[in-house]
Amino acid sequence: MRSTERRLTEPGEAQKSGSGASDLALIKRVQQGDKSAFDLLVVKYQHKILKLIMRYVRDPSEAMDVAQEAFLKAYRAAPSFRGESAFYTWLYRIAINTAKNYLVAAGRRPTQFEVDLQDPEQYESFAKLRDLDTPEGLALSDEIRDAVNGAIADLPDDLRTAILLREIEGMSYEEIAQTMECPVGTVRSRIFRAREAIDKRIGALLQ
Amino acid sequence: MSEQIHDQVSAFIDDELSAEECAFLVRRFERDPESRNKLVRYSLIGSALRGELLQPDPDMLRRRIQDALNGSPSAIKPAASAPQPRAAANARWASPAVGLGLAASVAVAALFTLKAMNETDAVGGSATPVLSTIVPADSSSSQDTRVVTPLPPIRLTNYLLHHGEYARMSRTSVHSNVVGSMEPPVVMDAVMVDDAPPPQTEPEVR
Repeated sequence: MRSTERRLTEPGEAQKSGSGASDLALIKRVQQGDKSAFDLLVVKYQHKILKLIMRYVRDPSEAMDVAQEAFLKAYRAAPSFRGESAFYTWLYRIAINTAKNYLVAAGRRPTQFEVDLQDPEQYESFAKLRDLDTPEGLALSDEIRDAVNGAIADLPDDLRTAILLREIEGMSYEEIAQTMECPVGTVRSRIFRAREAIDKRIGALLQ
Repeated sequence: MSEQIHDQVSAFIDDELSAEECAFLVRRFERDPESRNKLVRYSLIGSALRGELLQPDPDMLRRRIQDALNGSPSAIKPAASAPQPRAAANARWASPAVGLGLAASVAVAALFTLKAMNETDAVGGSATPVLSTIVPADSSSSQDTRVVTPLPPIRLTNYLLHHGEYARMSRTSVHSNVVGSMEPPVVMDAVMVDDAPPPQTEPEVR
């Protein structure tokens, strides 16, 4: 396997954390027929999965269709998930296979649209693909993004550092505690308070 | 209490709860919309920080998946290049089907009417048929605008029988095949009407 393809087919570093107990609890509920539990898994991974699929399917509308299909496949296959791998790894593989199958069915080679995100030039092109929107359509997502960034800038340093290490770097509470030289409980509290402060800023946008 | 739950939700997102705590919280989500909404918003914050928000609506994909799981029509997104074959197919077979249905209903109604008339005659009364004849459509009109008007029972019988004779010769309609074989012919005034125009076949749209 080429090194580029290996980078693209492995879950990113930001996903590593914890023991997977959260996802496992949700998928168990899904296996019992709880669709709302699957909805929470969608909430958690929809953006990551769509971003992944867009590495294969450039058209945003088609990528949305493929992402939808990938999640539906995951839902239908949920009874067969045994927990031998992390849920996200399992979902990741389904998404990639769905994207590749889509390209094959459309008569396109799956490798044709792989993007090497390590290459700064290609990364910028990929990032620009997300900006192909109508002016009206940019409103909500951009407002949320701006509100979140504004709230982050206004946070005390310790809260800001804690949440950025968690959300951007994907570090566990233990790793953040070592980095910030504080107890794990303090890390948990700081991250929670940071989220609450940001949530207050975006609450009005989401109502 | 709610702050404690929200703190747990925050740790849940980060996968920092034990299996038992996760199971407890997941069960709580079913009956506590507030904690569930907190999870959704905390997830949204993370996506915004990582630059992963969907455009234009961050919740668009989730709603489509929800609709698909619930079987909502809104989840079905027609491909841009796909035509509307279902509507075309409906239009193709609807017209002759309507014609056949109309013919069949007329035949059934006529049979019951005849039966009622015979019984009425036997007791000395008179019955008004529900259906008696069909006025031919305006030849200049492209649509089938048949109008039903009442006729005396004898003329109804006569119409049906004569139409049945004609249909047996031409084998053009369903109801005539049914009616023509039911009653012995009675020679009376004749009322003729044209059959429905044959259905037009359209090329299949793919």
